[in-house]
Amino acid sequence: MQPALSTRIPDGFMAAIWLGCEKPHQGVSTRNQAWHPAPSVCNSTTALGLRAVCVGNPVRSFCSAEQYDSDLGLYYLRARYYNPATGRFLSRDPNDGVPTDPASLHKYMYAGGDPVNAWDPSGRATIPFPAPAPPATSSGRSASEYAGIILNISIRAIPAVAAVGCAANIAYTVDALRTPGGSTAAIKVDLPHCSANKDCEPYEEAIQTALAEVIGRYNELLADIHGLYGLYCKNPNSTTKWGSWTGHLFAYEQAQLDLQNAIAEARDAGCPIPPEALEWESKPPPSCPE
Amino acid sequence: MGIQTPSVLPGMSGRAKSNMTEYLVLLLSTDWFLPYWTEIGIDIDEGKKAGIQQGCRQIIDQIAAGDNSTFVRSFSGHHRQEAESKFLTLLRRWEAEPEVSATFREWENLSHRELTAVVECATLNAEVPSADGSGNVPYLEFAIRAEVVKAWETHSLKASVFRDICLSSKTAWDLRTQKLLTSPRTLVNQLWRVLLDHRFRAFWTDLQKRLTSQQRQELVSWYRAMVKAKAHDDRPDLIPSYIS
Repeated sequence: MQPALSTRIPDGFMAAIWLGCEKPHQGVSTRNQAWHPAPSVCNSTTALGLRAVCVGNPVRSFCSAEQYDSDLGLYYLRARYYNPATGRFLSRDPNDGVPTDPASLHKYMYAGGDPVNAWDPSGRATIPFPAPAPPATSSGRSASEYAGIILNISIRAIPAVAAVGCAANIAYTVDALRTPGGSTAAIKVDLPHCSANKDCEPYEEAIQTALAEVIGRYNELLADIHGLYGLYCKNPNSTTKWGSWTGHLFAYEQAQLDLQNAIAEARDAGCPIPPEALEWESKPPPSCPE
Repeated sequence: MGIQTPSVLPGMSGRAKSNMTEYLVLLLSTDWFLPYWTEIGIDIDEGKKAGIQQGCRQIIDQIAAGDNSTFVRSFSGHHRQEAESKFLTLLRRWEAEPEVSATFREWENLSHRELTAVVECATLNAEVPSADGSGNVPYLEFAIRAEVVKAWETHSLKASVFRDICLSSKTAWDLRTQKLLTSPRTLVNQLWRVLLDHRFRAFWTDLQKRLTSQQRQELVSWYRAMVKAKAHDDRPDLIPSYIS
């Protein structure tokens, strides 16, 4: 089952989402939108005409929900259009910039060239994300109290509430993340698996290896090459070669517990879990043949 | 029509016996786990530990009968009873029954299905925060969500617990035990499931203080709904017996 990672965003709110992801984004959700698995997130338009903007490079990139002009293939950032293909604005920055900040003097650069740590919602000025601090919520709890998996959340004074996810197990309720002031919140999330140098490949390999073992053992039971399966089912109290038959079951269980652990390790690391693996980790051995 | 889930697994007559005591014997025979016996509730002096460890190795040698490649198949069925009998004799010889019997009984009564159920529900705890009714996850009342997340933060256990300690051991015996099971990790993975069961029990005890009986029932129903959605079948066996 594909976990649902959508989040309800109150009406009238703009949504802005940043994902500090190493890999192409596995999902992002905005106003009442369902979870979009990779890579469709970067090609999907929400019901509100927002479209996920992905900027940066394959090593570090981010997404935010911005209005997309399908005719132009550009994102409208209020003062200027942004071209996702080049990672640049199409027109010059109407602001002059600050002499002490060379990046701000660049007329076409997005977010000072550091979209992971800053954004440019107006097309006019780069705004860095503030230092991370778990926000207090309407119930007085910090967001991290509700979801320990969220490591780094910062609130900005813009009219937005964000929902974010970079793996199948990341989600939280927006209700719990409203600011005490009520309406202005945007969230930047640095998820452990999204940080640079995090690689899900070993976890994926471990799952695939364990999964192959489980399926192999299952098929071995079905094939019943020693005739034990049928023997047991017809004579449940028989002890003839009983040990050998239970040995087959024992092996199947071992393969399953290895798969369960491989899945759990991947989940701990925030890596994706193949649905097939979830199905097999608890699948009972084949029932008795007719 | 989903997969038939027999009340007793094929090959298991009567009570769904498991091979958990064999895992316990294997675990106590290893070098890498020797300093950590207290983690599974065995607090015993070093002299007895060393004696029991060596005794467990002899049991395994007898069961495997020198044929390691078939250990998985031979260490089951009637060999299980033989192993249990030998292990209890070993405990008596070292006058260690009082210290070990509780752990032995616990492992004896655990089963693959029960531990699988624990893994399932522990895993589902990670999805509780998203059960706000906005997505595909069945709704769970906010107060329950908040308490579950808070309690599970205290009790959750990483799947990699003891993994590196186990796999980095290069003693001859430990390398041998790694080859006896399906994978080098099988034994430590099983240990993880047992420890996860401890954590989940503690988590549930915690919830008994935090949630009302009705709220806990709602949570169990939510677990069942989630399991059903995942397995495409009603699987009450994937709910730990002590919460359902």
